Amino acid sequence: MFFPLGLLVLWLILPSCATVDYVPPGQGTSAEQQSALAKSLEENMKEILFDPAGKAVDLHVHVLGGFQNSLGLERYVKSLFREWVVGKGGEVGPGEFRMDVFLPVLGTTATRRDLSYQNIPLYYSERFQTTARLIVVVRDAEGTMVCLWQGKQSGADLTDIYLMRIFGPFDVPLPGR
Amino acid sequence: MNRKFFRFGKWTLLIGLIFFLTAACATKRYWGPTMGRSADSQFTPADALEKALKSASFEKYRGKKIWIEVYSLTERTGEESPEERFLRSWIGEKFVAQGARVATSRDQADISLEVKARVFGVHQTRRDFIPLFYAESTHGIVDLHLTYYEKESGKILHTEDLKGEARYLEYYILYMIGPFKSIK
Repeated sequence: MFFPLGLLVLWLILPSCATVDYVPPGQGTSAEQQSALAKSLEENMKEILFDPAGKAVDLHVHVLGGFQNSLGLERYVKSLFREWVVGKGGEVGPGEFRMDVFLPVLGTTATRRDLSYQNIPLYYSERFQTTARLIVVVRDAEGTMVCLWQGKQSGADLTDIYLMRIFGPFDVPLPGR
Repeated sequence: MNRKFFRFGKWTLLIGLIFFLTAACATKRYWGPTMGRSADSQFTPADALEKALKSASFEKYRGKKIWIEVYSLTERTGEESPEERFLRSWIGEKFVAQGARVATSRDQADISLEVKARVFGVHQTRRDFIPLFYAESTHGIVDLHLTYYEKESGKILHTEDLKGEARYLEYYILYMIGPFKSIK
């Protein structure tokens, strides 16, 4: 009794299919992509060596990426750094120090994996990896470099895993996450 | 004889109906950009935003003038994205409803509020369980980080994180019957 029932369940599961859909512009920028980029930026900022406590810092941000144009990303990064400087006891505005924040890389890579054996779908995953490279240059009023900090090229990693292409998504931790 | 024929006819009809129905195919279609952003992709983050703002209390800013700036990683053609404009206006209304005022310029404000929208968007998954079941789920996610600055001193008054999620599931049975809808 169990054997034919099991076969029937297997027969029903085999042609199943779950797919993560990305359909811009009908969907807007995907929530996962935004989340991965935001996390990646925040993680990078934790390691900056410059201490802005008690200093007035004139903040300038230069980015290369951004969707369609770079203005949104520039504003976002500037707001992050403003909070960071003020939170550490400094202030943002014209003053004794000028901080230039360069973000030459901030982007995502999506990888889809399908594992099937003789057309039997066993495993399907969508992995979203972000790459961020952050460089901070601080100069004093005379233009002398006080600090040059370059973050490790790192990023956030989000993965949705489906088994038999129907059960899931499972959020499985990956090495280096 | 008649009964046998009737039973045979019944089974034939049933099998014929199943064959007929299993050949059915319902699929949600999005034709960007002419169709604009899909309704599912609009109302799920809007619902998630409502949930996120439920836990927020702006009472302590009653009588104060607030200047609101919103920053996000969403797509745009100009300086401000549609999501940022919407969030700024919506949060402004929440402040006004709780007795604060929205300043018309940064200089007039007592408090400067910076809202970083880490996430304001959707995550969509399609599931096919051929030939029985087909579903499209839209998961609206909002993750906001609010930083309140005192205008005079530029110091941070306080920060808070607001998060909300809304799920919309639409499914079809036998690829033909439906959609059955569920909102959480």
